[in-house]
Amino acid sequence: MISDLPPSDAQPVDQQLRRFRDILRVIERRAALVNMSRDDYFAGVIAGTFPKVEQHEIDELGHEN
Amino acid sequence: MNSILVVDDDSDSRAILAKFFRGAGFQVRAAPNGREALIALAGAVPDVIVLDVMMPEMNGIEFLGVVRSYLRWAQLPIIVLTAYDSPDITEAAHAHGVRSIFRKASYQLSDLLRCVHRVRQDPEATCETC
Repeated sequence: MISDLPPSDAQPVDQQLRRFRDILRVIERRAALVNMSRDDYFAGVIAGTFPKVEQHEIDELGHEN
Repeated sequence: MNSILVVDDDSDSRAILAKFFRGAGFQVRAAPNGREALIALAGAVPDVIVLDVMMPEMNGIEFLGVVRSYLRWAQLPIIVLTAYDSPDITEAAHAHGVRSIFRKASYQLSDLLRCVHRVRQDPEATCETC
């Protein structure tokens, strides 16, 4: 069972969630620039058709508190 | 209405690019490889083609070879949008008169749209690409 697995040594869940929200905010911003919905743009990123979010874009936008 | 043919073997990529260009006012058709794109081209010639490179059955460079062998399509505006950053692809595209090559890892969608409008008006225009 998954619950029997040892704790992950990856980032804590809250940090991962914060990072994901930061990525979504960048995607939302990019999407708005080309009149697309965030979800459509996100699908393009997942498909590899649109560029991945870079760390500097997150830094420019500022982190979510 | 401006028309565009999106050629990409990845169905999600095709769908999302088609949606984007439709939203930008284009009449969009899509094909999953070069062979299907040739069939689409024989039916109606689009104003611009956005072309992936690595595709099964007939890849983008093979497609360019066929298209450019026909005088009537020799000046057809084509933009390459590829995931691969290879000098060979650039060289092959240039050999077929394609000057605008966008890398999926690093381009801006707004630049691609500007480029589509630009090459539609001037097929020999070169866009600034990443």
